[in-house]
Amino acid sequence: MIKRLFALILLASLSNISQAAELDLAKYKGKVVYLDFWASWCVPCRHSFPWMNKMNNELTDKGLVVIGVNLDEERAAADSFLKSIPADFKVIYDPKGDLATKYNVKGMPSAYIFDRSGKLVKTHIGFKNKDADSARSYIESVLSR
Amino acid sequence: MRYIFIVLTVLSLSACSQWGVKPWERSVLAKPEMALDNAPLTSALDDHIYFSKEASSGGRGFGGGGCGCN
Amino acid sequence: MKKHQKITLALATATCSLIGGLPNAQAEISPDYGDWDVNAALLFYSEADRVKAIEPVISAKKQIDTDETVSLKLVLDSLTGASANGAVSTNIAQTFTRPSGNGTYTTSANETPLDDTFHDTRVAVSASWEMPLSRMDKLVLGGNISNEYDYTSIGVSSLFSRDINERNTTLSAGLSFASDSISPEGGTPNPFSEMLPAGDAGYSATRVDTSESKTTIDVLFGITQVIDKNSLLQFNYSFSQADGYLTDPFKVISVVDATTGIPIDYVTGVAIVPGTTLSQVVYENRPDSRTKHSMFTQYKRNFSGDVFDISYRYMFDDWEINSHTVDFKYRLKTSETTFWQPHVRFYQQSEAEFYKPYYLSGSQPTAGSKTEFATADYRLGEMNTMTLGIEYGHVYEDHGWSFAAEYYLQTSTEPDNKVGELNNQELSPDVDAFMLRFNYDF
Repeated sequence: MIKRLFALILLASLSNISQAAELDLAKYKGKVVYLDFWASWCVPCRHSFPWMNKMNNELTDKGLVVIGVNLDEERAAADSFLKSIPADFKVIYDPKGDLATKYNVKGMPSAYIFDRSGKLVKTHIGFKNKDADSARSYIESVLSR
Repeated sequence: MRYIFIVLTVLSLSACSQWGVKPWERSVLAKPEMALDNAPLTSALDDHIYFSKEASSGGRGFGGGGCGCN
Repeated sequence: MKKHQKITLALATATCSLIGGLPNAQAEISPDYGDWDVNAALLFYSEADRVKAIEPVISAKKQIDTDETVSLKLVLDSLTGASANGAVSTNIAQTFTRPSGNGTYTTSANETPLDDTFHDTRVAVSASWEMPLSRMDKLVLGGNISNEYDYTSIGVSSLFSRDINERNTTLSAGLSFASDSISPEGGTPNPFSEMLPAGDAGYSATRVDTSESKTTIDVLFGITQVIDKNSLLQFNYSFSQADGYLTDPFKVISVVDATTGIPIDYVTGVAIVPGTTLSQVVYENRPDSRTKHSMFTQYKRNFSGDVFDISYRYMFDDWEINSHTVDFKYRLKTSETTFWQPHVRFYQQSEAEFYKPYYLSGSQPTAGSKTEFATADYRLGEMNTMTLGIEYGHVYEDHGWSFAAEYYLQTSTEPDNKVGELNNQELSPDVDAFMLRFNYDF
């Protein structure tokens, strides 16, 4: 009994130490999820934040959820970035890249769009200002399905 | 001499099949000082001096490394 | 201070060294769209008793779209002082005619003859445009013009690069073309013709043309490979073909008495009378074509914030010059904002096949020969050079500066089989120079 308890506590504390990122998309069923992988050292990521904030602020009412997954190995670098460019959306931390591996991230930044049934409908690598409008149109079309 | 150099380089390059990093592992490579030519004005000034004082010039290449973004 | 954090943008750099004129993507500070990112540098170069140069450079880069930039660069190169004209030193003073044919200059006994005619300013302007062709492909186009009072050069270049293996590997291919025109004061000399006294009526007969031209094509193939999170490796092969007038119109070769080893009077054939008669020297002649191959490799590695950087270049050409260059830098990160960077460079070259420190009287080719080649220019002779330098710099969020001091030493071995007085002379003296460089990134 004590051994089991000990093992459970050890397991729980180990998972905290390793800070494995967890993402359960099931709880967002019914909403459109924009999942974005970013890091502080990635310049296009910096350019994408104002746009993602805008999407978050304008389309949350319509059912959009924006989640940023930070891939910095050092939390301090992410914190410093967010201090100068705050995120209005939810940020989770994946310093070991487990989520990035799971979602097979192929470039920085990477965006994954899931429709209201939780199905992955679009993957996009990179961010360019000139693509922002068409990206928004696409998100709005998924929201209205 | 020149052929040994070519062979050695090609051999060492063919060993690079396991080289590389994941796209999110480039924080160090993204630093400006890790660019292959991180001080281009200095390189240009140096190249100009050595071109004037010696019989060889150029050779330096371009591109690669860095954050690998977009 | 700007509100947003300046995050580094390590774009592939635009071509620079192919023809020495194009700006590079400056990775140190990343601008926002529409901002100009400006970098400047100033070089002071000074050889003891010889050439001194001041070279300011300014470059500006503008981000016009994601991954698309334009750059401009301006270089001024102000040269004063004297450089060796190729003649040998001897135990008495010598007189030489200036390249224009007007005026003379004298060299003291036991001193290397130096021509101090050159007080020249060169201006060079270059521009480049970097654009993405697709997500993984990029093209850089560049152009440059440089001009000094007797030399003009115009060039264009292109560089294509493609990333593969999730951008762990970058393949590059570049092509550039340059066209130069030289119009030396007094015209280009007839190869192996004798230098005549200043104001001599026959002077213009020794001049062939008022101007000459030269074209250069450079091709480059490169591969850059990310090894791990902390290191990367680059390998390039480049090929250069130069055609046209490759001779230095101001360089000469001494003709010495076969027994005494002393330059002779070109008229009487006996020993020169110092300060009065001209040493016999003939103008040099180089082939009208030069093919060079270079292989270059560079390795960079991060060690907890410090950067280890080493490169090696091997060059060989059809003038039989082979060279090895090893360049090593270690950037020591002394704080978040400061660094020291020691720098060592070693260079070794073999002499050109037609390198000829002097002629024994009678063995020089006939004037106007198109099939014989010779030069006494020490820069095509066998030499070893060493550079030792140290740099100190500050890097801030949106600006930075650094200061560097370097010492450059060239040494060569004396020619074999020297005759007579030449055994008492140092024909290949060491040449050393100090360099100071200041960089400022806005």
